[in-house]
Amino acid sequence: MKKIFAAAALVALCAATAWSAPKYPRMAITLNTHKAGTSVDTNARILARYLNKELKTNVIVNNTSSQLDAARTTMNAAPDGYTIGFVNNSAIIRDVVGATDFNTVEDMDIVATVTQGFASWIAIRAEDAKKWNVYTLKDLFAYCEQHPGELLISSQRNTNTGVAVSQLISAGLKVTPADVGSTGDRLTNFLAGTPQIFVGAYQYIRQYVQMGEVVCLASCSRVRSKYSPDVPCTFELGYEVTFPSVYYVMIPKGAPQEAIDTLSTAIKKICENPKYVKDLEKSAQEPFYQPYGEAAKYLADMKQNMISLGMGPGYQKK
Amino acid sequence: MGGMNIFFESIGTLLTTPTYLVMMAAFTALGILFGALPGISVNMALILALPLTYSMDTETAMCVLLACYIGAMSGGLISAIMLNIPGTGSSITTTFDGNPMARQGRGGEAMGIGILTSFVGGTLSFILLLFVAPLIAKVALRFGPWEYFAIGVFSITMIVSVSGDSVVKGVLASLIGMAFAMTGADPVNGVSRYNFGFHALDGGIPTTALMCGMFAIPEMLKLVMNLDDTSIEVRQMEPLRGFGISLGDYLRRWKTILRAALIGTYVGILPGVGGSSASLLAYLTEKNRSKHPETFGQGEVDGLIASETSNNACVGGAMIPMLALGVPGSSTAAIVLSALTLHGVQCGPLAFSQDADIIYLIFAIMFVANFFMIAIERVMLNGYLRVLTLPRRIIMVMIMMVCFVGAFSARNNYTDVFVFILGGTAGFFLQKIGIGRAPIVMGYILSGIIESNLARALSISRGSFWAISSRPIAMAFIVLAVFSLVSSLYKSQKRARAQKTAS
Repeated sequence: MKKIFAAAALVALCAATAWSAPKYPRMAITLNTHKAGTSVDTNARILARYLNKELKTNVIVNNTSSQLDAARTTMNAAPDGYTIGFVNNSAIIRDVVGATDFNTVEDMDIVATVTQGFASWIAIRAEDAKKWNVYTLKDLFAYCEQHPGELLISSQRNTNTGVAVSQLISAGLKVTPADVGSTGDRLTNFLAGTPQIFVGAYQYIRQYVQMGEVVCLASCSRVRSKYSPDVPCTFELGYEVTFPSVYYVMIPKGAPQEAIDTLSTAIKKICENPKYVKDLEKSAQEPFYQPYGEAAKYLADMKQNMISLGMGPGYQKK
Repeated sequence: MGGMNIFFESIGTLLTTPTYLVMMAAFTALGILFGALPGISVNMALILALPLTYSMDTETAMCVLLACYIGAMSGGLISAIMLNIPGTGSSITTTFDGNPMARQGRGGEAMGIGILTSFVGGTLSFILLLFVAPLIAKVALRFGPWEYFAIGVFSITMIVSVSGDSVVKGVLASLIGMAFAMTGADPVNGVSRYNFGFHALDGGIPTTALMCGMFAIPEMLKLVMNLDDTSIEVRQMEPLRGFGISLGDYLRRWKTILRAALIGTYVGILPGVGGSSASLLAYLTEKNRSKHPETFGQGEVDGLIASETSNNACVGGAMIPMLALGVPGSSTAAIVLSALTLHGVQCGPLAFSQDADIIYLIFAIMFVANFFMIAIERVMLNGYLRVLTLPRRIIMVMIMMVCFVGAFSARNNYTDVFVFILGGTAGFFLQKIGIGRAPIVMGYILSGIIESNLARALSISRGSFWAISSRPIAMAFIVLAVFSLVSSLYKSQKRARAQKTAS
């Protein structure tokens, strides 16, 4: 009798625990992202830390070899809501130029956009500025008009930077793009003197600007960045060169709506958290929350915009 | 001198704060364990440690990460010497002489020398880091894509020198390695190549799986087929006293040590080149300078010293561009940089003035962690030697389990396990026809440096290959590469003629 009673009590306790347990998430969530040490990984880890607290579960960052790999791994995962991906819109660029065999927006569900940053600033070395008498973006355009193709501009194909460079060239900047790899490589080569024009994230050149070794000509954006308030943006200078980097969370198609809604709500709360905003400042990002539905539309529009600009396969080989 | 004051104050703080001491000791030990286990890379060790640091203050977080880094870089020598399986890419050259020493019953001596020389290499590079980091960082700026391309080509030709008697087989091995590296996304256009429809290979053949497979599986197959002629049951060894080498004998090799430390530090400064290239260059420099180069690869102490000194010196070197320029010198340094960013530390030229406390604390942590590394490894040394007395078949089963887990866990991808098995099996059969594993793996590692930098260089020079002639440093390395190849061919011909005469 006592044993039956004990067994019944145990069953009741288990049922009560199961009843009161949150429906989602019940276990750890895997967040697929880019290689460790990249800016995408840094942002992913910042987000994962806050998701841990918000969802009261472990969010495990899983590094893959590339953003496309992260997207593909997420797309192919079981749609149970426990595998998500975190990438930025560079993945969409690769989709548009034909470097993937799947659709980075349509083949998965976009939970929410999380952050955005002005992906690119345009800068030259102070000694070059003095030599060419170039201190503004307009000066640079004018100089390149007189010396077409002479100057090299650092670029990296199929990335936000590559798009910004393409837009600059389309806007009339007569330079020769030189693909010199990631931002760190671009910075090293730029500081050594070739290429002469740097295009990349501001945090890499911030200290050199402060020291007066580098002159920042413009941010590729519609409004001035709060990280460089004295630097004009391309839009105010009359150049349609704007391509923000937008980070977003994706989930396999067919994942439970409960999981999507819970994640989207959690991300919204995180984006409103002042501590998170402060953490994002370290990588010159700011919160940019768009919920499920709107996020997918935003990214689809961005993709369509790229296609309408002529960014099809082979675009950046020109 | 302000920096030196901050450095010594930081040392004092570290030594008098129990939390920092405990963290450094614990994570140095953990790093050594990860470095010793084939299949678990230094990067993986840091990635596992990184989330633990989120709730820590910056100082404690740096103690954790840097201690782990230093431990892992040194730990690779343990499996390289004991098992002929490098724990990290930079320990490949340690297998050339370290494992033969172990097979000769001099395992304790090899381990002791490896540990001591890792400590010395690390210390020398940290001293350089402390005094001249911002100045040396400028050196990195003199190296552009043409220079990296030339270093890569030079390193490939040097690999031939360690390929045994046949230059042709050495070249073939390097080319096979380079062919493996072609798999995956093109470094410039991002288009996948040679993945045969397996999208899991879009990121390329994983280095960890390939390296582990190439070294571990042939060892296992040799054991299974009983082809390993050396004693399988290792003799009972006496506990080692000291580090297996007298102080006088070690100091007599001061030129070797200094050269290897400088090569390691210098190569470490160059972003993207890496510890494996540093140890290879240091090893081959010593071999070429030696009066008895034929002893290298047979258990030569100088070879072991060169390899281990340089790969630990590389740790300090990789920190220099990271701290002074804000550009990580290696993928491992990129993870450390990411951690610093997460903790609000901005590296770069102003870091030495704006964040001097943290920067010099980083130097101090690396300096102190180096002492923990030598102490922990020395204390555990006799324990490692006891492992060698276990039947090899038991050790190999354990190692294979770890390798399988390591191969999978690098990218959480089952394809990597198949790469591990297939790569290893291919390595076994290639070895049987005289094509070495080390040149294949080195060719694979160097191919990335060569291809991506050639593409970048051609992009800058608008497609002109002859632009390299205007780069004196690059041309010097190309000339050295040609000389190295011709010299290897000549020596090979000379050996063949001597053998013919003798017979």
